[in-house]
Amino acid sequence: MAPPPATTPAITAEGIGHAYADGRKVLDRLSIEVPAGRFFIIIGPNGSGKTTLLKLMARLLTLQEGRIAIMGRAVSRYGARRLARAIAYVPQSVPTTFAFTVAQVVMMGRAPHLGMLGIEGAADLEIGREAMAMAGVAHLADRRLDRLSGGERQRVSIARAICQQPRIMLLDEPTATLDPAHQVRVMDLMERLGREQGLTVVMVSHDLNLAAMYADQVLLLNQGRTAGLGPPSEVLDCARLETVYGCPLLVDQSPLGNYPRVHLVPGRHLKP
Amino acid sequence: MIPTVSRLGPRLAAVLLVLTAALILACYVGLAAGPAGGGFRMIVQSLTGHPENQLLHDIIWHLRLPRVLLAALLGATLSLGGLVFQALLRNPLAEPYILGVSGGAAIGAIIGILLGLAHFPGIWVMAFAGSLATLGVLFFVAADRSMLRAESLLLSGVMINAFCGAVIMFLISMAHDSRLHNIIFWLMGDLSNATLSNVAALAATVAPCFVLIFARSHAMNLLALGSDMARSMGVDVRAVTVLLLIVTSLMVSAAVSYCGLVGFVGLVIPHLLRLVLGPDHRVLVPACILGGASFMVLCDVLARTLPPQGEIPVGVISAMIGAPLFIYLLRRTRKV
Repeated sequence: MAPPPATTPAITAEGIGHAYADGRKVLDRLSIEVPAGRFFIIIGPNGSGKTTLLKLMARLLTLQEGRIAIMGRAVSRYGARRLARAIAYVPQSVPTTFAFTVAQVVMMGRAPHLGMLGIEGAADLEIGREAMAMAGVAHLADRRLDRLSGGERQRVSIARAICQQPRIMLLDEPTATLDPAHQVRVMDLMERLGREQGLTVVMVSHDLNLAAMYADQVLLLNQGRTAGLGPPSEVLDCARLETVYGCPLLVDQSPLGNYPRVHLVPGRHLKP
Repeated sequence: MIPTVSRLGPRLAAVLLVLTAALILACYVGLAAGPAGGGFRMIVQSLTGHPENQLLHDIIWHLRLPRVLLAALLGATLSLGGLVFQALLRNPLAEPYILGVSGGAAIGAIIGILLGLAHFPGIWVMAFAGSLATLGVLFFVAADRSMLRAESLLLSGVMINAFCGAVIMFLISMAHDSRLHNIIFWLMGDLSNATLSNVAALAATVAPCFVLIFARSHAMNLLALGSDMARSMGVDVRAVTVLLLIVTSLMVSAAVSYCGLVGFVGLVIPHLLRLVLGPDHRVLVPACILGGASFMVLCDVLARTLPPQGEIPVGVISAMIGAPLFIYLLRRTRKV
């Protein structure tokens, strides 16, 4: 069932570090490798550097320290359009200053494949339709983005990224604003794109159980360093999670299969 | 299923057709309006070089035509300038006049006038330098993230504008001779000394700018989703932003150096067109050029014909229409 091992990793990061202007370290000599075609989920407490790592991979932030390679080639050596054909990025939220429709936003994903004026051909429109259908926003095609709910906008953002036809998709908490049905639908979709098209998915998430059920590999970040890297069954270890998150947790096995299941523990259940 | 994006070509053609017709109509009104009168036949005869009435022919060629063309170029430039600023700052209330960029150009131009420089290139270069300087200050004050907030950006613009106003007053108080009258009239937005050679020089400056901006219109669409999004879709955000800002201040300062301070056109026209045509900049860029030109030609007709004697500066007309609309828009954005 697992995709065949690819020779070149999708993303290699070696000794990357990043600090804010005030000198506070967000990432500290971090080294990871994301194998091609795998589902890679980054978890960790607030401020542990998850989004920064994602933005460095997408070259939305300038690398201060270390090296990042995308499919074996230094990220700095990509041209803007070539990088955009390799990587799509789904941010936590998208501004809606101007009243673009869903279809218009989704079709913008074709930009790195088109000329300067972004004039789409029939094939591009077909790709856009398919992307909207996959993300479950086809029925919203003519609606204005600024009149949609947060969850609907998030799915539009995912449709746009699919329309971009990247080799790697980076998503920053894509399920945070979604209802349970759409959470599962988005995760299933990413899993399917990985299986069928060899898409590499790197996702930042706060949902440890989604990470447990979908990830091939989990990266647990704590204060900019690796606190765990490997399959969910190894990383989602109760003692390790409790140390990193600084709260009591309960981890057992999911009745659905061989994944760990993480429970939050309400304060009233703790011994005084 | 994807109607709004699948037909860019026909959609653009339809918009161009309607707005070109509007511009031709506006130009006709502009050529026909005036105390000496003028009918359709007369204007056509005059423009094709077979006049019956030599006096009216001269009026049309030497007074009305340059003026109509200058107004059209001014309106096109200022509307497009507003559109570009709104896209880059992701703020529908941004406009060169409101943000003080026109004011900076005016300071440069007034210094040029006081130094007795030639209109082209002397005053224009000074105006360009002035607009770039205010743009620099604007970016420094409302840097990066806070730039997205309407209030901080507009407040910076208001302050820069106030400062420019003070400098302009200071410069005026230093002028004593005939230049004083020139400066004051020019400041209010004055088209009365239009000549065909002025028009040609301005057209030669702004036309390449229009082309460059249209070439970046799709990048402006992507920028509307935020600079991270634009970058992740292959836009070289810094290069596009710098190019658009410089090209825009270049053409706006050229227009300001010929026509003085005319405000709010860059707000009114892009806003109305966006309401009707949607936010796609590939349509809005040509639409703003044609729509802004038509609007300004008609404003100038009002400026020439409303008062029984003499004329009102065209900047007064555009501000009287634009400022109330600005307040209305500001109120509406607050409510959302």
